[in-house]
Amino acid sequence: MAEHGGGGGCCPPMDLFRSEPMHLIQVIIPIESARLTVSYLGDIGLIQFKDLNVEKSPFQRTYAGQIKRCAELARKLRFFKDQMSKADIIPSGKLDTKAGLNLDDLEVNLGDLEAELVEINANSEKLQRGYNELVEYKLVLQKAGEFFKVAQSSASEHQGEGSSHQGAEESLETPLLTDQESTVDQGKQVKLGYITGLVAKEKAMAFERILFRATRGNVFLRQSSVDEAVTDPSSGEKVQKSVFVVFFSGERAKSKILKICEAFGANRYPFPEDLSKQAQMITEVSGRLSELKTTIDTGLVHRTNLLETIAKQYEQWNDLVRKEKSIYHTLNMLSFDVTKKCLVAEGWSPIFATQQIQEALQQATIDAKSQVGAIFQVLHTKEMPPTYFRTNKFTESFQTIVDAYGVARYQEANPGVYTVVTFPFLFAVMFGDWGHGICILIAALFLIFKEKKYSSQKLGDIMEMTFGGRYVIFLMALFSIYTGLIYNEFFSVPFELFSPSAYACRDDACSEATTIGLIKVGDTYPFGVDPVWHGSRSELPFLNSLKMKMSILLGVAQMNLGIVLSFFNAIYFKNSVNVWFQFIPQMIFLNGLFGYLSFLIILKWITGSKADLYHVMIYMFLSPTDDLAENQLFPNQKTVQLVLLLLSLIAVPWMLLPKPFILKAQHNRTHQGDSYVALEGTDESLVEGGHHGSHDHEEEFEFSEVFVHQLIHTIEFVLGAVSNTASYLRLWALSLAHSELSTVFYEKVLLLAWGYNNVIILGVGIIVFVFATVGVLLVMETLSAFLHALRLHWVEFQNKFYEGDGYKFAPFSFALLVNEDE
Amino acid sequence: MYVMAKEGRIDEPLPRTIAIRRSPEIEFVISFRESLYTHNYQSHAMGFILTTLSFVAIGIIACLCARICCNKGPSANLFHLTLVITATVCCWMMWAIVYLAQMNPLIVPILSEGE
Repeated sequence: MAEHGGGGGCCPPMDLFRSEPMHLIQVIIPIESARLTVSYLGDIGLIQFKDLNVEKSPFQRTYAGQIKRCAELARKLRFFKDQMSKADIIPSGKLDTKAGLNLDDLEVNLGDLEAELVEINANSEKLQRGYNELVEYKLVLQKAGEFFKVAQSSASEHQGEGSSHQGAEESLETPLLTDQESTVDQGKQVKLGYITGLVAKEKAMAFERILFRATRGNVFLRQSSVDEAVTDPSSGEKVQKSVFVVFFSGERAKSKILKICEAFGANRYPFPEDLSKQAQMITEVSGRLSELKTTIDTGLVHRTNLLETIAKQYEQWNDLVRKEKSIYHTLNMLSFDVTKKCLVAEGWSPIFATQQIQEALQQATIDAKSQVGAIFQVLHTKEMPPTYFRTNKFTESFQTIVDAYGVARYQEANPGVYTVVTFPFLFAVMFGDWGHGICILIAALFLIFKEKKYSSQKLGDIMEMTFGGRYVIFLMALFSIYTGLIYNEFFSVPFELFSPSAYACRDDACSEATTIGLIKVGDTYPFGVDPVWHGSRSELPFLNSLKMKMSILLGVAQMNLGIVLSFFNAIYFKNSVNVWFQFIPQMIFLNGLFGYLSFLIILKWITGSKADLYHVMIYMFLSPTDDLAENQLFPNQKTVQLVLLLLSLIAVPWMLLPKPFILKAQHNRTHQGDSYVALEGTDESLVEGGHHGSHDHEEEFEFSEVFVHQLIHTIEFVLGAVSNTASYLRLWALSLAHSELSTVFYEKVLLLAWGYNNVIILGVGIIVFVFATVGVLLVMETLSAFLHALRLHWVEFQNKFYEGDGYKFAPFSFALLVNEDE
Repeated sequence: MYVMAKEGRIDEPLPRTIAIRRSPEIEFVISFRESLYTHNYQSHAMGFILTTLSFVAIGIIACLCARICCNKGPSANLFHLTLVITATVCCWMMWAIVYLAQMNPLIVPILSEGE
């Protein structure tokens, strides 16, 4: 929108470089078409609605009732899902989008289904309980029947024995009073009561003890454990149980025993004394058991059928309910017109979507058969619009890297554009090995080819992250292969790919190759590091020097890019103060010191001079007027250094002092006399608003605050120039660590194993090598190089220009809704 | 930075012990070597410029490819152009640094005893 975009005339628009231009829109919707309108807007998904009812609690809002309904439907759907997962039925993924589905029908439908399902569940539970009881009863009948049979047979045996051996010699076991008892028995038989039932096996001992104590030993208990676990009817769990029979005499004992049974959760079952009755009972119980079994089975089949019909439409219903709920949530954010006949919506939308939104509004009016159309208008505001980048699947992950640090301020230069290349590049500088690069490339290509499959399914946390960054990894791998070729390392082994080495022995005998070294005879190795360095005694001094200087050169280049981007920002927002009093002194300061260092490095390489650059740089500050002597690289070097030093020194107050005063003067000029401020004049104050805090709205100008802010900014830049340059040396350190580690794995594992001339040792060596390479170099080193590249971008690059205090565009969109929920 | 530089000893031409044992012949060889450099200066510059030109050519070809293959409006094209140029510049810088560093070596490879 015009008042925010400022000029933007400095350069042609580039994708992703500036966030989409946004405007605040107002839509006035007649109530009868409100739901449909919002639904259509949700399909487009390019409006971020503002909550116009912030002061109202969720319950006070207009559509609270509908939301409650949707929540109830969602609960029912969750209940179905729960039941389905219990029954191992997976909801079918395919969505046949029938337009005829509406919320009221769905509510009735779901209500019926739920009632049916609940009834089926209740019935089947009841049946299951009855079934379990019968199973237990049958067990009791069997086991107790055995007791009685054994008891009876032994009793009759006794009787027989007693009558036949009456006069015979008495054994120890023979009861003393057999005769008398048996004779007495017939006359006054004491009626013994008994109770049969089942008790849990682990409680059986305690049960027995308590029974014994409670009746003072006047019971007779027989127990027999059931071999397989029995389902307890009340709890429905499988428990090991034992059948018991208690004999007692007297009513008091009986009531005690009954209470104890209850306390132990022992289920009692009646047991007929009569043998014939027993047999009859058993057959009866078995019959009922099989009957119940079939009933339960048919019930289960019915339930499965019901759940399957639910499963077919579950996704569709779920989708509908989720959409409806979000629609009503959005409707709740709209405010009522004074006439109570219209809803007023306000929200941010990208300017490019205006046409689309208007068409949707018209369509909604027609479809809802409303007599009045919705009114669409653009509002003018001073508020900061949200930041919205239209990313694709390739740029998305790079934008995520930038957003993780901070979302760009509205329309400021987006580092994401350069991050796409520089991030993988700096990673590769630390990870230069084309063997490892190829390995990672294969992994990345695998992920990219499986893209369709993986994007639809749910992945684990780590896998999700790797998959999300597949294009980052892909570019990282490509650049690693490139830098690997430059470093001439393939799993740390160099190859003479591009030409023979430029070095040779000094004489035929090659006697001095290990003392003084080789001599350069041919042209410089055309591409990358000469393979001859590998394994030589001077490899490390050479590579360290090279990589250290390379780090500084790359760092200075990237920091310059950052400062140039701040220039583009200043131009875009028409902020000439930032150009003259921030961009230019910053350029001078950084390049006067570290740009000069880079120049010296290159000059030294070209001339082959032996000057000590550290000496030059340090004495440029300590005693700039001293003679350079043998450290002189070019004529008039001393003068040049003096000028650069002076310029850098001037640049510091240049950055610090003028800007606050100019801002103050500007402020005074705009607020002088006139109390009416033109609306069109807001773009300048908005741009500056960011620099002196959020006090813009109150029209206040705290000079001290602005000055302190500028002071901090200046100090940060001056100190940062030194520390950030030093920070880029991590490129050297990490790449050194990587090449040394891979050399160790290659030489100390693979070559060592090779030296034994033994297949088994070689095999073990290869396995160890592969695991070390994958685990340490491909995973750990990738992670650490990734993190360091991340830091270099977030801190060293982005602090030169990136404010990162915007907020992300969060549109109301059905497409995003699905992802959110999962 | 300075401390790290010390460890590397990057700017010392040769280890000191060796420098002491320089015989006249070696002095001659070194001076010969130096004359060789000045002689080679032209060819170095040529090599550098030629490869740089090929980088430029590759960059231009890549730009054209991006323009032809995915022509999605001016702003997207500018974005692709920026990507290609940034990538080319990064790759060229890396190569140029390594090439320049090896042009006039101050230290030469000294083979290990074992080899």
